[in-house]
Amino acid sequence: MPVKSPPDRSLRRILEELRTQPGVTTALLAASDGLLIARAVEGDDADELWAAVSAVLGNLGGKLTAGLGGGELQSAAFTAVHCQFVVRRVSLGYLLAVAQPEADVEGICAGMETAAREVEAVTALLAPTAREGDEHV
Amino acid sequence: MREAAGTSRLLGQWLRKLLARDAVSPDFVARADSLRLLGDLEQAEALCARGLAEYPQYASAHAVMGDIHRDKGALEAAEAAWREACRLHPDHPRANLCLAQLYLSRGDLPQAMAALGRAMVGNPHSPEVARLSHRLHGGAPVDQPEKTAAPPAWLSPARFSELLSSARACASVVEARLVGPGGTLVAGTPLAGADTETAAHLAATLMEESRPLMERLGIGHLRAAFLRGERRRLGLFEVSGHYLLSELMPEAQPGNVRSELQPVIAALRRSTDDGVRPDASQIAA
Repeated sequence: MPVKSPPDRSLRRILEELRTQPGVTTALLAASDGLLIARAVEGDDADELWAAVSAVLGNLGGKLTAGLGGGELQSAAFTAVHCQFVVRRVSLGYLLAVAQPEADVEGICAGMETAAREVEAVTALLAPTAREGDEHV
Repeated sequence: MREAAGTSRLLGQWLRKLLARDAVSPDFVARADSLRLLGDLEQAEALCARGLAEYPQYASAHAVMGDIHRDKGALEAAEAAWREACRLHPDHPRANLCLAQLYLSRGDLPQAMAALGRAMVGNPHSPEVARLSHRLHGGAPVDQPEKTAAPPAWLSPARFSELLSSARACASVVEARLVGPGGTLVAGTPLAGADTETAAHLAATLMEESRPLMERLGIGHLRAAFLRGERRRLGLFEVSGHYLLSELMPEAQPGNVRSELQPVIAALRRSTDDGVRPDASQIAA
């Protein structure tokens, strides 16, 4: 099958690259209902919780932004007492990057934009394959 | 290419799962736990039970079932589920941590220490494990939920407008309003063309709903949120149990907004702590 556009990169590789940004400790992709789809590093029990956090805050942030006439939520940066994290909406759900409190949040936001574009490209590339697979189930 | 094919297969599985939500797959644990965290304990228990009927050897599913029972107040059932998780996976971090907390609440220190030791083997860097270990070794009980601070003296209704005018003077801020802990607009003009009550409620909900999740992750409560919509950017700052809801300039960035607003809030707070009423015009300058 011809490859239409760039990436034959997996979601995992995109997340791994996002995690190499200075100060980023966790990178994952969650569905809009909080289900963990993919993560940069296997084995951290907290990732499932973070996936739920992405969905809860992404959905609430989206309602607030829309309610105030701001249109659909694109991204949200949160500051907690012991860390900061950025949630970026993508068609599959939400991309999440968790970072140390002193990390450069604007730099991480820029990295999230790149990662989001790559996730969309992978999704567009893979969706027909998934549908083909469904026909045989 | 093999990796891309693997991702394709995973994505296909996920899409099918999304379309057929009642079908049980090995990922039912994450979904059941999300439902539990969102407070839907009946659905969480039903999903977890269905999953366990199909995957009875799945230790994490027993651990989540234990958490569901605990949240419902059924501690004996919770203990049985966590023990089953540990029988299947002796160093299971979450089940051992929960057992350690349970034993500690019963005053059974030897059992608590043993369970905590096993939790540390499974996840030595967990903040929750560190907190419980601190408590078991004689420290203060630091794992109690953080409580929202009572509104401080400086944040009296008489000074709400002072806070808002200082916020509005920041370069990134177009308009500012103050939302109370219950989600009511306590200061500032109603929102033009929007349901003010709903927006204020959503702002408070966003900051408050996240609290149990944040505590569970050991990262403390939310202090600020920067939301970038298609047409507008918004800022939310926690100010001693109230929320400063700001409409921001189109080019505003989270770091700038934070560095502009934090000193304003700190200056208002600090000046009253010192017993001196601040001059809003000086703060804005």
